Amino acid sequence: MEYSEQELIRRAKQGEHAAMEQIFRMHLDSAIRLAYLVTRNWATAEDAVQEAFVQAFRSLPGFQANRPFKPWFTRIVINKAKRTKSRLDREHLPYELEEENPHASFNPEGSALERESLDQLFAAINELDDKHRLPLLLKYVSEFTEAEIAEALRLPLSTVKSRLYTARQRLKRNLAAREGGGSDDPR
Amino acid sequence: MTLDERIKQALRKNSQWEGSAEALWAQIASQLEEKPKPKRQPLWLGTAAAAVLVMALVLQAVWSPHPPEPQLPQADKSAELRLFSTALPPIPREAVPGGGTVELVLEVHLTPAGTPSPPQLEIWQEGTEPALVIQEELDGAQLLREGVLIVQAPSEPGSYRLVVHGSVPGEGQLYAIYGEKLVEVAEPEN
Repeated sequence: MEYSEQELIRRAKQGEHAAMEQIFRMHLDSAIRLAYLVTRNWATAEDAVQEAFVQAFRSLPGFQANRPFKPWFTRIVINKAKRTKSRLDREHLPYELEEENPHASFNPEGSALERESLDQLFAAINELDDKHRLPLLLKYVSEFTEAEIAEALRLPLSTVKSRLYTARQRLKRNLAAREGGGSDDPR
Repeated sequence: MTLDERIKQALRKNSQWEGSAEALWAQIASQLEEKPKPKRQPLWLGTAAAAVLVMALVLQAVWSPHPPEPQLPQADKSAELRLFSTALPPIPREAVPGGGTVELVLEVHLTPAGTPSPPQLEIWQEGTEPALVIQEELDGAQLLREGVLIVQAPSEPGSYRLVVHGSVPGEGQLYAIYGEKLVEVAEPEN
């Protein structure tokens, strides 16, 4: 039986595990991708997501039902991911993104040139600093609106707009340089 | 392809998770079954709290300007007065006729700030067991003004101790008032 997210949250607040599991499945894909892109390590991304779900479900009784769940939950994921990333940094564990991602099986039919271009773009995204990279990840991985990004990162909407604009401009410049001064406007 | 589409593809291509959602949910569900561990108070917190408490008690004992006076039960008051009077020069006895008047000169002096206690006259009949025969509240302001109190002696013959004590506020300060006299009420002459 399909329930709306609000209904699922209401049921989960009452401790219904089936409702929690549905919420988990609705948000898992976006959460695990985001955690991985922040931590750059699958094992720690899984740990971060697991901790985030546990914390979110335990905090549900205090969650206001009229507020959107996703930005609130995503904020928890980001916090957990950042914490595990800083632990990785302290322990000097290698980032998996430094090497070829073993799970990368996307677009197998794409041309080698196209795959190389996407890899270059991905490298350029990873060169952005966190304050510009995080809004970008939320926009393109979590598919958040600018208002949702503002809520998840607790930033003014104008700041989010400005950071997204700057991030895109830097990516354009970076790509143009990587592609050896090709098109100035890689639309 | 637009830049937006390319960014989206680049991110998706490089974040393909191949783990098991079931396994992850099983771990989350088992953690949810456990009760959250209560946060343990660090050891230093308890030690610090105890140290602060001891410090506060010591400071209160050192700085408290008016330590509370022990409350003596009423029956012990005469004993207290007796003890007090033995330490002082003997109070002269005044012979008065029964129901006659006695002039009691009062000592008035400044006392450290505290709670005023309305002055009272107490007349104790002396004997093996002193007995309080009269107790009445007095006008503190009048006592301060006049410095003496005219007391009517009991009509019954016997030895009596007249005591006035209390503290009265005046001009923003507190004054202690004290007076004491022994009287001998003689048998009426026939």
